[in-house]
Amino acid sequence: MKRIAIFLLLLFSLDSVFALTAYEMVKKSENLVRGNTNQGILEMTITTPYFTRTLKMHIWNKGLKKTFVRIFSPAKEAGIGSLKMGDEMWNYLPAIEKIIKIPPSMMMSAWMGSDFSNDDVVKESSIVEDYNHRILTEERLSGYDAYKIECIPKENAPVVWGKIYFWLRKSDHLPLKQEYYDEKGKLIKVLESIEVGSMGGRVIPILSEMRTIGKENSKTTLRVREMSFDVSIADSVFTLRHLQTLRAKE
Amino acid sequence: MLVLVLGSGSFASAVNFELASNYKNLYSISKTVQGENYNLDLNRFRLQIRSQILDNLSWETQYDMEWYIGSFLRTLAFPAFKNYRPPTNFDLISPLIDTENLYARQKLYRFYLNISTPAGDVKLGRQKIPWGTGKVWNPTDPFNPIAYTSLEREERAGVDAISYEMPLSALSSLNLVYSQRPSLSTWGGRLHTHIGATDCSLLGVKNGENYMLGFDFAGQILSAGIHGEAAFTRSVMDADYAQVVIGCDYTFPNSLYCLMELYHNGQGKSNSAEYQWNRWLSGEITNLAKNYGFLGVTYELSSRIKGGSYYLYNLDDNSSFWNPFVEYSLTENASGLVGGYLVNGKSNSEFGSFSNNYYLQLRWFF
Repeated sequence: MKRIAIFLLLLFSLDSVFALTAYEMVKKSENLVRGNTNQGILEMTITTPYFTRTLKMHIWNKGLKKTFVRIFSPAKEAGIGSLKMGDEMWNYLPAIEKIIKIPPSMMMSAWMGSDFSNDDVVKESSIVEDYNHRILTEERLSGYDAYKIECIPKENAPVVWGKIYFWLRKSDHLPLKQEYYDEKGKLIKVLESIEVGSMGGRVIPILSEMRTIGKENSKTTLRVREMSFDVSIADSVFTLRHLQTLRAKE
Repeated sequence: MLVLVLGSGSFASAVNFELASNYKNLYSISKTVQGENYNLDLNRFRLQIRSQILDNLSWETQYDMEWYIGSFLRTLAFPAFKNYRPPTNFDLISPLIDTENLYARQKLYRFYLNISTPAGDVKLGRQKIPWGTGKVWNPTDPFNPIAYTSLEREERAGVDAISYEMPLSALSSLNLVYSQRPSLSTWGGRLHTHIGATDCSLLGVKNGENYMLGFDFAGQILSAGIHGEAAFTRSVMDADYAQVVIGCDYTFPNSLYCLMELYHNGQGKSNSAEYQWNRWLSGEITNLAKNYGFLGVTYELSSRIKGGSYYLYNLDDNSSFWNPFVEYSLTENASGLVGGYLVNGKSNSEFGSFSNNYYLQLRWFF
């Protein structure tokens, strides 16, 4: 009888064995790296077999629905801005002095030629709200004990991935690695935390690397140069007015 | 001069300055309307200065130094080219060198003050007024409509105007514009808002003695973007007319981008014998015929190379304009572009009247 009881217990999701559910772990992880708000400077380095280029940008986030990005280097791309409000996105292109509304089909295309998509940068889809989560196993990864969590899209969620595997550090749910699979189960991209450090009073990945499977010798790294969390950010930042206004030394 | 004046002493320390510049070299080979073969090498150095004088006061200027070399300088078409003046009031266009082999000039591309208040932004000076959602045709833009067959498609002369934009919400605004060109004044108002997943605008314009009511939108159907404009004009020169453009665009996962637009131009003529060439040459009208179609595709061949093809078709006289091109990223701040403008049609048709044009462009930002 006891054996049956133990067997039945193990039949339930591993979630029931842990203090937090998989959803709560993923939510905690997202909150760790985003906070309620965050504001900072990121450096994105795109490495290909032919060249390396680095984009520097200011970024503002407020909750999950508002994101603003402004590139300030290199000169060729300086002034390009992206605004995300809810599920929609707009770009400002200084070359034509115009705001362009980005259609959904463009959300998965590469952002500025990098391995990150528009969706990755502005987080149109939410790994917390748009997926169902399940703890698969515990593993050792990059020298840390980690949970491996499976994220399957909810029905009608505005995502293109068939599933995402998400590794979180057991001690504090710091994201260590994400694998993105298409709807046929093929691995498409891998995002890994290369370097962890203290920024804005939190321990976060300060250097991440995104690789697209099949593109050998190409990768995109994202380094956090400055970041503040839970600061007050005016709603006026997340407006079309701000998107089309270029200030010296923004 | 502006940099010296504004950059002096304690003023400079209190003011945020940002300098940027770019150099363009555009080499083209074609034939004039008089049938003369030519080559033309355009060089342009553009200096951009942006300055935040006070927290709510800024200005921007973009100053051009251009020099032209090539056999085009010795064609019959060149005098009209160098004497052409855009419909602006002050542009500082002045020749610096004018010989048979070299023509150099300076000009002002942009110069405006921007005053930012809680009630909105006032922009005064030479600026671009970015109305319209069309990517090939802009009937609701009375200030700087796109001239898609221009070799420098992104260049817009700008207008001397005072523009007041009042934000109504994060995604909505009211824009009021007054523009005074040498022989034409334009008043316009555009209410821009966001409904559901669609940006849309209502606008009204008094352009000289003409009146225009218009509408534009940019939204989506499933994953595709759709956009359109409609303008209804009461004109003193023409019978009242409507201009409508509708388009859609889609990006495939492999980076293939497709754009289609259809344009009905009520101001145009179905019969090529009635084309108003003089009005087109003067810039008074931007299109000759009534009905057009456009198909454009671009594709990233590699992380460094992008290829594309733009095809513009005159549905009335069956002439066409085809622009294949390849763009290459040379360095982080430099790119190259090679392409052709290939025309097809009868000699009295819109595009058949032109000659093919082949070009090579280098651009460097610093």
